[in-house]
Amino acid sequence: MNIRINELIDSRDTVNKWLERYGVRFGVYKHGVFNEQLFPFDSIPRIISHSDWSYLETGLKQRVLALNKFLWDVYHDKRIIKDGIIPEEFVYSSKGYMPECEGINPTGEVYAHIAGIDLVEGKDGQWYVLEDNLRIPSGASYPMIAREITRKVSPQTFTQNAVAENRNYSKLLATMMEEMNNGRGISVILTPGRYNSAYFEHSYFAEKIGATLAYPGDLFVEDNKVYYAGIYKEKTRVGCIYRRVSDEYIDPLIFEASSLLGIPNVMQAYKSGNVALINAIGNGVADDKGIYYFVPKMVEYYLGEQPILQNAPTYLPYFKKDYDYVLANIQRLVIKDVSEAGGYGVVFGKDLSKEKLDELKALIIDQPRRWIAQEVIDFKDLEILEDDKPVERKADLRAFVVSGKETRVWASGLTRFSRNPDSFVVNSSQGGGFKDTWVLEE
Amino acid sequence: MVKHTIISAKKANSLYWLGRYEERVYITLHLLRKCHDKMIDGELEDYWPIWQNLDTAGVYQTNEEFIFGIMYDDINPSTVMSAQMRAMDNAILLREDILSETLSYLEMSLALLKECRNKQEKNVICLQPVIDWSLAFWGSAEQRLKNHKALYIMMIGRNIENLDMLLRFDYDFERVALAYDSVKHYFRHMPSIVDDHIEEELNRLITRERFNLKDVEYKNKLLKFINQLVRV
Amino acid sequence: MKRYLYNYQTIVEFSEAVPMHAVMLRCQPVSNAGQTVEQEHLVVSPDYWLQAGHDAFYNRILFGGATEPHKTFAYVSTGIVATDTYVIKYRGENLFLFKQPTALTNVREAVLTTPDNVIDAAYAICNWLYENIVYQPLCTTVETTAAEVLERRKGVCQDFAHLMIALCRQRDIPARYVNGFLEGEGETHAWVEIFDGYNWLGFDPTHNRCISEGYVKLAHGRDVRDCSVSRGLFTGQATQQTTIHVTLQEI
Repeated sequence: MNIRINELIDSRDTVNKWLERYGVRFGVYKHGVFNEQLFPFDSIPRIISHSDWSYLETGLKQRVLALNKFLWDVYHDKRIIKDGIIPEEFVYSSKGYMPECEGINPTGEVYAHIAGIDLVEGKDGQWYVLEDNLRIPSGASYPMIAREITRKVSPQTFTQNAVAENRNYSKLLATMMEEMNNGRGISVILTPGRYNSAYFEHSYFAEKIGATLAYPGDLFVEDNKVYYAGIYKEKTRVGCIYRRVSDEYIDPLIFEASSLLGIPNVMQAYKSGNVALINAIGNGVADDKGIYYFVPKMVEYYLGEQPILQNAPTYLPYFKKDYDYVLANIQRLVIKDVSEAGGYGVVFGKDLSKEKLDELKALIIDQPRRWIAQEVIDFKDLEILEDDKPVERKADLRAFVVSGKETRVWASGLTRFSRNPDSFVVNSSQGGGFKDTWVLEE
Repeated sequence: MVKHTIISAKKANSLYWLGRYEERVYITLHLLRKCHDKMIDGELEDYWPIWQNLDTAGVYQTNEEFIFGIMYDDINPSTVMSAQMRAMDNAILLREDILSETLSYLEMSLALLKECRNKQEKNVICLQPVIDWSLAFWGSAEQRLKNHKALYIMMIGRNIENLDMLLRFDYDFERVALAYDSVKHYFRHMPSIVDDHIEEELNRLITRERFNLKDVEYKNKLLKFINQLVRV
Repeated sequence: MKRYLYNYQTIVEFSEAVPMHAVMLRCQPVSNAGQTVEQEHLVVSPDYWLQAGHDAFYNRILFGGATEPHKTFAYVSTGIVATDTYVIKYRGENLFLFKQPTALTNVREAVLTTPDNVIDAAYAICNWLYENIVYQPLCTTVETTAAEVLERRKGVCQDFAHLMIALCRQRDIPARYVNGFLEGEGETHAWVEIFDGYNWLGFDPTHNRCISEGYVKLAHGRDVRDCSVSRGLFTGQATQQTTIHVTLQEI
């Protein structure tokens, strides 16, 4: 395969100009002040071979299918707990578990309609899942619009390389939303507003999907059905809400009472099957750091298959064997606090002094359930251009899996990289940038 | 996707103000060029009326300061920069209605304004693309807006701003009456947007016999009614 | 068996017309092994739509709202309840949730030693509370935590209930918060149910007793947040004033 991308690299500045023209930004809060920044684009794409992709695609479908079955099970029969595969405290003490969702049957029995699965490729060529994002994963709009622009600016590049189309993500979303809407009414995207860090994405999807972008206050519930309100008292029924407002703010009568972002009584309409919520409420229980460990077991339990995708090697001190291993090897592991709120965050054992390590050990001994530990993966660096010179940086891949009546994997993804050569953190709010992700068709 | 033409209160407000601010960008630049032309070799009294109306707070001392300020000042609300920023603030909320293609003309204008300010460009001519893109914006909007009601609200905003500016800058009756007719033309499509009571008042005030902008009370009354005419 | 007439009346007055008001209410008694609702009536402002449903803990709720400008919201929930011995059957509730401390029911220090038997322990906790916590109206808020009550040693029925629940959960005894009516009180009362391995039993730490009869239950949950009689949200700039009347009388 002869991959020719020189022209594309040469046109980087033109591409960034076009990104500005389309207002491709993300918002950042610094010291309480909202600022919009352009999301730096690096024109060297991440290229995934056809065979690698086939493997990833099958694995991602399998993983998301199992996660959806797990969510259904948690809020219904709880077989996986009763059968002793997952200890109940991992489920019920998770911040993402919502008793308010018990017994709710979401349209089509789908919970994670849009799943963002974060992966890295190890130096050994092996892909590892780092995290599942099943609540409101963001980022797909960036590679979509980058492709739109790079095809304009450097058409030859795409004549010479067989790259799978990625602008069809809007079609994937639209199809799924129509399936979940089920003819009840219009479909909307609910945004918290322009000061949300992903506002560009919300408005761009609305345009590309042909959905209405709804702001807080535009939607209301009457007779247990959701409506979109017009300025002159007109209203139209809403059948599907792709909500970019988090669970705890979605219904101020059930969750956070002070929320001005939500729709009062929307949970009742949802519970009665009068509206579909994308994603379902309560998904946080399945993308919890502690639950992550059990995902491969879910694949075996619900699907009776061997998991195709691997987790990063993970240990739960909750189990005796792992407890001993973690305490003995703490200096070379990554330790993550599952309890989040006011927690320890993520620390690398190798960065801690002897005293700090002992302190951490004591915490693990005191509350083993609160911690998970992982092997540090030596992941493959990607080339980026720094002042026109290629340098190597850490990068991850967020793959998007869309589930309506069927589960479909988007043949692209968001590749984020870190600007800082020593950093493993590829978060866009920390100065990183993004790349297009090419999936080769042959 | 199931289509509908309902416009929320929030969007109606954004559409209206987008129309107004984008028109203000255009008119302000037009007046600034007129003013600039007179400054080249004219007397102060030739351009003072425009100066006074664009710089109501009287913050600029020299011709250069005035031109530069009206182009780029983002604190003074009467400048090209301020109007373009406000237009953008509203447009950004309307991407899926007006479409990225149309929105991009405003993005480019704002980016150019910022770039010219950074480069300290003093000649008004550097902002010619802002005029061109403003017209491209309107052309694109008219061609592409699928929801006609949304277009009407924007056009109402645009024409209200035009009328407002004509009054502020003391244009003659013919121009004002024509602009008022344009506003009313769009009202026919959107009857519920108008405050009927205020429209009646304006119909009585905007007649050849009563028209007199030198009468400060009359002028202020007109301006007040024009700005309360639309209910969004 | 005793029979009671209950009447719960609320009038919400807004300082100016509000364009939208949405509500969720837990104002109707439930029928269970300890109480039977024989008759019930509901009166609601005519411009409100209202539907019945259940919440996360299977309490009865009413939800609805009004979308035309209006200045008041009024409702009356009234009826007749027959009460029997206060023993409520276990219906497969998720006990884990009632063993896990919440922000309002989290006490870390060991306060007293109790017998191993669940019921004896509950009596001991109840008694300890009665002897060590002073009943004092208006000294706490709806947000006051069990830890704060323990420190200040005073509170109202809600605070007694939260602290008792916290002390039970410390011992791994499933305990839940209950909101309802008690004869002779002008407002709703709060008490506790503990799970003895078979049934839910009622304890009223404010009055230091195991409940036998005369308590009419509206709702239960992890703490007071799960049981509020009324939650609402309106748009606009108005302020609201709420007047509540509660009566429970044996007939």
